[in-house]
Amino acid sequence: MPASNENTKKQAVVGSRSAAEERAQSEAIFNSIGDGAIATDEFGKITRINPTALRILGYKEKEIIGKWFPSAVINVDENGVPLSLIDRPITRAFLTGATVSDRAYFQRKNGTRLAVSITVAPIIHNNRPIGAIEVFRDITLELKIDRMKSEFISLASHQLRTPLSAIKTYAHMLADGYMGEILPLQRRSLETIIGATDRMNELISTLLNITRIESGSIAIIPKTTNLVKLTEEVIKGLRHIANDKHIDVKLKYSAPAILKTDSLILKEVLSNLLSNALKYTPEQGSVTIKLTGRNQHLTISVHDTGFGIPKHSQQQIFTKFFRAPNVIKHETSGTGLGLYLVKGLVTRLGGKVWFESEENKGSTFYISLPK
Amino acid sequence: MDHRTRLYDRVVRITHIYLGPAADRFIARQVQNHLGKEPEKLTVDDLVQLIDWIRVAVSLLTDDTEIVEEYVLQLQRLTYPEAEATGKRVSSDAG
Amino acid sequence: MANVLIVEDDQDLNAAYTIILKKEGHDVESAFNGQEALKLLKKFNPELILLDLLMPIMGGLEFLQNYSLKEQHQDVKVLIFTNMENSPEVTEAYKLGAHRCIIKSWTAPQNLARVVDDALSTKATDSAA
Repeated sequence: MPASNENTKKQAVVGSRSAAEERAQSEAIFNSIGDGAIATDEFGKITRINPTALRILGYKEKEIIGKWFPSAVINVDENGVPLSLIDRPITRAFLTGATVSDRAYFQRKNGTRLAVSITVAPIIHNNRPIGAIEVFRDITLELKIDRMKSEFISLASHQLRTPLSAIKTYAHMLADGYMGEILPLQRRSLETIIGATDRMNELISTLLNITRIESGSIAIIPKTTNLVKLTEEVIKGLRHIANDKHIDVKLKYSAPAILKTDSLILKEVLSNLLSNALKYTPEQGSVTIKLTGRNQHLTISVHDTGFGIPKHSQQQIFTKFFRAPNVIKHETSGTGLGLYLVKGLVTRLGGKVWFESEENKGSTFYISLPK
Repeated sequence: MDHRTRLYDRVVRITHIYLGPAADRFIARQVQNHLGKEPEKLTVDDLVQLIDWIRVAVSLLTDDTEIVEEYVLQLQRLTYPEAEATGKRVSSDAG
Repeated sequence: MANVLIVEDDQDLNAAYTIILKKEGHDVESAFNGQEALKLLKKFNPELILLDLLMPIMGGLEFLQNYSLKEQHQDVKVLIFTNMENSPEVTEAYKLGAHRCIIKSWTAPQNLARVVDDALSTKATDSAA
């Protein structure tokens, strides 16, 4: 009896030593994480914070353990204005039940602001949320590089467009008789030059947008957007092409479509899709744009009665520089970048893009965006 | 059908007291994100699961743990058998 | 018809705009940067200024800061010429009193003449910002 008692006692001691070791190990792991890490409980109180986080924020451990996270670690925007609690990444992580990654600013203990990239996830134990783990890193240098990239892109855009402006302006002036009378044949040649410069301008815009997407320097500025009005503007801008080809463009919607998104970027996306629909639809055809909303998403569809996309080309339609062989036959101009750009921009807006198409019948492109 | 709608409505009504006009959207999002269903189809079993998520989310909106617990208690009462059967809110005890 | 000042560093464009606007009957003076423009303004009173933003020596924004448009020359319309749409510089220009912004690479001569006429016929306080 005593022996087995001894054994049980020994096992109990060994068992609890392993538990203590494991705890010590997991603490060592947590403390060794190279990025800042903060764990909170189900009441939002800080239960653990690692040395990197303390260093970055300028706190001592005892000042911050047990404190309510939203007031201990303050999230501000780039102007130093505190974010409303419901917009903070950690709140969003619990509202969605998913991991949330975002860029934000922390306010350090000394009041200065620091740009960080945050990833926060709910901690689930036995199927219940028991807290959150937030990991963050200083991205000051990354932001600086982003800014330099954007400035370079802006500058390159300006420098490429200036000589283009001169070409177009002088071609116009020649064609309009500013330099003396012009023969019809000469005028037509000048119009060719003007057309080419317009295409080059579009190409520059597209390339610049793509560079911006690929370098991640497209800033999304979400604003409350009236999708119906936006779409009407896009249609208005391309009306002259539709009229030239006698293509009927219709807009259909069941209810006012309002969502929070970057309206400039969405406008670019819609312009691209509508312009494609018009380009690849023969005369007397029709294009229908539909806006429908379900639950958390808004769906925009652009349907045309055009050339369609052959089955064997459908897989590649969103790839860079791809143009399906059947349209190259009918319409030689085109960069093959439009849909690549659309996909990049829609993804950046947090949405999805897909299509249905049948050769010689037409195509329908769909975009769904979160509200 | 009617009974189920009432549960969601009751949850929103209670939430409205603590979160104000944002209550409807707050609860709807929770139901859709955590339970993957339409808010109107909220059942008592769902609510039990949801309360955990609501507690952690609301705990990040206020540090007043008493208020949070009061709110959670009100929601928990909706999951008691009498509440489900009669569709009436269980009256709160004194104090 | 009106006094117009063109401030544009690209010589070809500067010449082109001058030709176009002179043909419309306007009295045109031109400068290649902000500093030259300020000098010209001592003797020339324009009703409208076509202002490029990106110029050497003194750019469009610095020019506007020195020109104190809001205080002394409220009736003068300033049209910003740029290729950088949606840039912070354009927003800043509006704040300094610019009336409208034109994208250079998309403006054909007839459009330029029309835009200038539009601007001259509206009141200075109707800014398009």
